[in-house]
Amino acid sequence: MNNVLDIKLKKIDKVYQPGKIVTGYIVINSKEDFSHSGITVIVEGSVQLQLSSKSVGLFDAFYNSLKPIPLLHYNINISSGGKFQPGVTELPFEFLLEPLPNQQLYDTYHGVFVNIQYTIRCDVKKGILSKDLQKQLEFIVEVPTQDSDKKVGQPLNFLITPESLVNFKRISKSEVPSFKISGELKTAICNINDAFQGYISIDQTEAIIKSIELQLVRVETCGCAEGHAREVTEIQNIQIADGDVPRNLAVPLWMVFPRLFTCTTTAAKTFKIEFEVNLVVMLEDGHLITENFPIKLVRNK
Amino acid sequence: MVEQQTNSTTTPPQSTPPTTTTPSGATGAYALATDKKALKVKNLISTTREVDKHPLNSTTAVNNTTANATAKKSTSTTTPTITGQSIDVNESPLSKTETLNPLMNSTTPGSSDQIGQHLTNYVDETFMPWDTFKPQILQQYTTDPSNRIQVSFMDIGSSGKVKIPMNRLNKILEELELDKNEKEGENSQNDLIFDLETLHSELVKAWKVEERVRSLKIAIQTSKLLADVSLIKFYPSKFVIATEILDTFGNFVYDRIKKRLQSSKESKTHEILLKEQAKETCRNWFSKISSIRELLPRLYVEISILKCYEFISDDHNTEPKQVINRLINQIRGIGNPLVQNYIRAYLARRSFDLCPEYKVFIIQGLKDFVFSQKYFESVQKEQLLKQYQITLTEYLGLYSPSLEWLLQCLAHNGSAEILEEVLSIFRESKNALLLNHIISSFPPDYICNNSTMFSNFIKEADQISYPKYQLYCTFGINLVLGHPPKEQILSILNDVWKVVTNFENLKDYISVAEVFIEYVLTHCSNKEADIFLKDILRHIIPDKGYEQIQSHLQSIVLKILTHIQDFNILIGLSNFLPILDLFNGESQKQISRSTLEVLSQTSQITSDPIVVNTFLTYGKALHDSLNSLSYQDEVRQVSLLIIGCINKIDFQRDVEKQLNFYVDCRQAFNNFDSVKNRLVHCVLSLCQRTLGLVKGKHTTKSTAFIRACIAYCFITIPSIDDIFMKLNLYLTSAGIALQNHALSQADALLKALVTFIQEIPPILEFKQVKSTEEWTYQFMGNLISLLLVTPGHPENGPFYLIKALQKVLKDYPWERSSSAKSRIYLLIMSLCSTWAQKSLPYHIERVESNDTLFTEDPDFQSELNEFYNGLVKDVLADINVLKDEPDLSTQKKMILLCLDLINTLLSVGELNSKTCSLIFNLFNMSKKSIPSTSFSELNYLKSTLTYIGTLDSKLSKELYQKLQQV
Repeated sequence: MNNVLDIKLKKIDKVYQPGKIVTGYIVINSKEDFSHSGITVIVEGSVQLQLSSKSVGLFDAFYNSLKPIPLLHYNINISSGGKFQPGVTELPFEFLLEPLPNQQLYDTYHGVFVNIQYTIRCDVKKGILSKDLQKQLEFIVEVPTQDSDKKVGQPLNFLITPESLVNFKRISKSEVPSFKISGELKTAICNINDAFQGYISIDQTEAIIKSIELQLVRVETCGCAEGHAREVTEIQNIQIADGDVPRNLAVPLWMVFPRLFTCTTTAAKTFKIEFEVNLVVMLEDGHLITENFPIKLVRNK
Repeated sequence: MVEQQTNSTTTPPQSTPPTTTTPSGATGAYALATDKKALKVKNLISTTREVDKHPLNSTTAVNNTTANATAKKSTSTTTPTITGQSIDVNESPLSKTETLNPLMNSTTPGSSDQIGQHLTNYVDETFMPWDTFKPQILQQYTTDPSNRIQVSFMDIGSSGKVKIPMNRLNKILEELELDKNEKEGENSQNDLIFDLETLHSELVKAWKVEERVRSLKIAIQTSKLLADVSLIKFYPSKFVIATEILDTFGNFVYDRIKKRLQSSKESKTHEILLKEQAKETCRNWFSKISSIRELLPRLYVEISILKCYEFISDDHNTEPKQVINRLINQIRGIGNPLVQNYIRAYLARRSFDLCPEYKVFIIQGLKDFVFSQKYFESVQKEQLLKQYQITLTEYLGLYSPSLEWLLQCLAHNGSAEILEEVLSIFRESKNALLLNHIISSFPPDYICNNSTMFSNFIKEADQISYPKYQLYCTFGINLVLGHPPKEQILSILNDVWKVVTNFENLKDYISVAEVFIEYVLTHCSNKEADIFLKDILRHIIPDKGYEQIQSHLQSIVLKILTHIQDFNILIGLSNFLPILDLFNGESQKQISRSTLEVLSQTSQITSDPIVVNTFLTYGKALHDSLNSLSYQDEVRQVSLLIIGCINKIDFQRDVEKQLNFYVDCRQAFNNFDSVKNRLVHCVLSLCQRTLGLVKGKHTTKSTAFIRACIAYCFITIPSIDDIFMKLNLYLTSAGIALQNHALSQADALLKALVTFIQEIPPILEFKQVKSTEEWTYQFMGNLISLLLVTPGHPENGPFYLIKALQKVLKDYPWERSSSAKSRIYLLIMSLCSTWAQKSLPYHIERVESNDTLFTEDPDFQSELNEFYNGLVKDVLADINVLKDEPDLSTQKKMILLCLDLINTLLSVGELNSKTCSLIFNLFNMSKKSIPSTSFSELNYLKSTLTYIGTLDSKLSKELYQKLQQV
């Protein structure tokens, strides 16, 4: 009975912008006569917040802010009851992608402590004797960044030397071998559809390089004025150099932002989603040289 | 010569004038007729099969065949037997352009055809497709040269399935499941191949059951193997196999999307929908790949599905050229220069499928290559060579396939600017490895036109990254292939040779010489070639250096031989023969053979003593190199070759020198039957030539010479093993001896012949069992024809030989139920008939035959009749034996024999009462035995009867009536 009920959207990629009309249809595929006592489509969008174990119990006020924030809600009645012929029946539906009053829509985002999801649910009520049917489908919302935030990103040069380092672990500053690493980011304000770009050049090192990696991390903040919990977690780690690369050769930095796991940098009343990139140079002897770049993700359309 | 001889010895019987009647002396027995209406007989019998068997007729036939045989021999040796001997790999024309990838073909023919078409528009036959690279790489780059690399899923000419041990398979599968990369200890090359085999089969399996994620994982796993350079000598081969798997993966992905796009063209909206879907699929693939953690697998997998970018070319960052540029830059991140350059080659290969015209990125890649080489030389080199225990040359050789491919992609249809840009990379870096591949992949004519520049480049190139002599070799090959400007030909050579001639290492020197000899031969005159050879000799003679470089020398000589086909010119090169003297062992054999091949193909006939001497020396060497264990076919080929050479040497009127030459030949080629056969024929034709020179009348001097010739034959023939060849030669020699009036020698030859008859094996077992009966019968026909004119023995009488023959035939182990003996007796009966005539139908000039010697002698006549009677009896006895054999074929033989006997009796014998009754009985018996279905026998019977009806004697009329009543 699994395939009896299905939801299909007109757009295959299921990506919609606010203000657009979402169209689709309910597909009922039955070998026999299909009778029901009501079909409804429920569209919901919400922000769900979660606390990590270490933050639990910090503030009572938190709990208020942890309730899901509804962004969107529609209840569409497709049919109040009836009977379909055997075969495939398609029932169209459509709605305007618009936030609830006093709310705004955010990018779909699958994080650890913050989740922003939009779903279409279809309920089919059957008689007393048989089980009701339900089907749920997630669709993706992409919100173009406001023009005011769309600053032209400037190239960002960086230079890493032993002197520029802070935060030594298991090593004292004097033991650090000499090195000079330079490079450039194309911009720190990145278009989410574009890749994170730049180059790095090992100008000089004494040690042998094992690997150079780019680590993409999310910074999720939950809370309100009273207090907040800030959580940093890794999304992905991309190697950009493997082995001892020649000196003075510009090795490109290139990282595509993964879909769903990234969204535009967002700041709302009770939560924030931000991203950072760590450039990690791993040395053969096990030491790491890390440089952190906070970035801002925007969506240009 | 031979044909002349045939004409003179045998005159066709038809022209025999009817001889006058002599009353028969014999009574109460079958008598020989002395008067026969030969013409009439012939007319009638021509409807039967008799004609073919007439002893006199067959002489001509067989003599013609020997003539044909010799003619054939001489033609067959003149046809060229040499095929291309020393074609360089680079020279071989490669024309495979349409099918680029056999695997692709097997998965979806539709799309690959399109790719093929797309590429054929751009690629011509000078482009060497990857498929031709593959087997070469696999062959060359292995840790274990004795073991051929076999990969079941690749079409590299190897057959047989590779079995993967089960435990190994499980291990790999486990690794795959756990997705971990740690290897336990060192893997051997075979283990690696097994791993790759498994990965491939798993990939195909996973794709079949639509497990895309697993397929992707396998592709990643495969590319991870390419990060490991521990079996460094195997690395290029590993690259070939692993990328084959990646190609499979890439093509799977591409073909599936393509297929779905093509699957329905119903409506426009549907098409748009499909396109959207395809795009979405592509984006998914690329986004999945972009999150692969490790750099090398990420790049390899993305490159493998590079073609999919064509579906989403209007997305952000997906313009093909842009993508390729990004990838070539990202490759810089690979630390190991070898791994780096191979993935570059892979990018060039796959991007060639997407946009073959785009090649600027390769220049960037080459720049990076040179850059990382510099770094490698200064920092990593020492440690690396130590770690893998290989020499620098070996290590740098590992780059060859990748560089070659890159430069080929770049140089193919490349504009002058592109070539210039590549050269500037070299100018900056002086990287000899790069230069080598530049020279080998640029169009030869480009190299030729700029030869001075390249020659200077070679001088400038660094010594470290690639050996200089190899650069010269590569350069030389291109000079041979191209067309250097005429006025520069010598200056290039001088320029190069100034450097090469000072090489200290002999092997380096000869390697270059091996290439440049071809340049000299192709573009310069023979004089230069001779000077060149002189220089070679100067280098290799001291300290017996030539012993180390036999194979190089061999290739040099072979090149000379292919270019200079005229042996006289070869001999004219004063430094050529000294080089030939430097060979030993197997290479000497090869060289001797090739030298003789050239000689045997020379159009001119010569008597130059140097040529003769050379021929005998190398022929003898070749002869001595073969023994009883050599292959039959090899012996045959060498024999043919020698015969061809013998045919080329002719002293014209100096017959004695010619004979001496044949004597030398016999001594030199003692083991080759067919050569000896040819020699005997040569000597015989020499006799005939002499006979022609003295205009048919021998002088004392020429007689002595003829005796010497015949003696030569007499001595040579017994040393031949082949009995058939031996007998034929005896017969021919005897005929020639007779014609040249060497009567006693002819007698000796015939005597020897008769003795050897019993050595004919009744059955031959070669491939299939075959009876020799027919051959023997035919041969006897020839022999008897010759005996006809052979004068009788002065002491032992005229019947000496024929009686001996009869005895031999009687004792010969004939097969059971064979009629051959009797059929030969019938021939002898015809001989008797002819002898009974006053004058024989043909003669040999100036030789008195039995008609002059004996016919008038009554003793001769009576002995002849007696002999004839004996023969009839023997035949009848034979018929009796055959009659009792029940099987059909013997019965048929018996019938034919009866009818043959009747006809012979009628044609050669006098019809008396005894003959008549015999004929009547024979006729009766055969008529009874003929089954009603065998028409040919019935016809024969009928025409025999009709013939009897045409005879006009009284007896015959009676006989005819009697027979009709039967």
